[in-house]
Amino acid sequence: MESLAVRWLFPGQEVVVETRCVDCGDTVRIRMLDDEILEISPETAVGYMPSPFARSRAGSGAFN
Amino acid sequence: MNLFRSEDHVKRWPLYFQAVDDYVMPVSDWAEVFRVSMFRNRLDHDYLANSQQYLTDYRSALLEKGKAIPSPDRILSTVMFTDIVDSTRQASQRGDTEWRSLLERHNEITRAQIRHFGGREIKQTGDGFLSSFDGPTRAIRCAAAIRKETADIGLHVRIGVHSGEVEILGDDLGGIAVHIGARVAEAANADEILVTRTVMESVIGAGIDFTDQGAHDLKGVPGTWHLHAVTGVT
Repeated sequence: MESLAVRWLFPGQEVVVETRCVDCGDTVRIRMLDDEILEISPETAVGYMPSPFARSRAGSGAFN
Repeated sequence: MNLFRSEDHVKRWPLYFQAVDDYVMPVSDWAEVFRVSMFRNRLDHDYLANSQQYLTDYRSALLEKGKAIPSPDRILSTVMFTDIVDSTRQASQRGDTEWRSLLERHNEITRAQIRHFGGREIKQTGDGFLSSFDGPTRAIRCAAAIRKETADIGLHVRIGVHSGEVEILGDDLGGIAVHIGARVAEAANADEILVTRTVMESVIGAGIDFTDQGAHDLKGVPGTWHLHAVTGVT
């Protein structure tokens, strides 16, 4: 489950994701409550996700 | 998902340049994307049943942010569905042991012919098979061989063949062309090989004879479909 989707596992509760920047190791913090994002620190934070289909297609069995 | 303090940090990340088709977005944008049903409804008991719709919603949410999931791989293929006619009645008449033995023989025959004609077994479908071929001529010749050999052991099959674009879903195939192939097979009688007009017109000159079986409505498939029965393979 992706970090920004974890809030749906805890309906009605504040969820905090605190992790380290993959580049510099400094803290990245996100507070969420259901639909609302209460805090993104720092505000410039970005998420990076591998293209889900490009990766899963590699080695796809049916027509290799 | 990997989190970074800013886009500059992503660009400094050594692995960034290996991932040219990957997605980078502000966390606030990702948070909106992750509102979609695919993630929100993860705990629902019928989650898997709705997964196709959830994927569509996810795709739309990404598009709104200027990102796009590549379409699933689609290739032109010929699909062949086979099915044993009247299998339930035969199973009860013959008894479990004899029926199981006959079924195993049927499976051996079908698999051997699919291999012989260069096809690929995709999966078993009850008492039949879904297979795919590079071209319709091979599929029809394979169908004719399966029909003859299964008749020799006292079984009767119905077979449907259709050519069209299919989606590659791991080891499986999907898409409307696959559904059409299944419906064509359902429309066939015992010992009959039915093909769509697409297939019939694709194999002109290949030494295969057909009779026109008229227009059919295929359940769940839009439009009317002209089907043709294979009457001779030389």
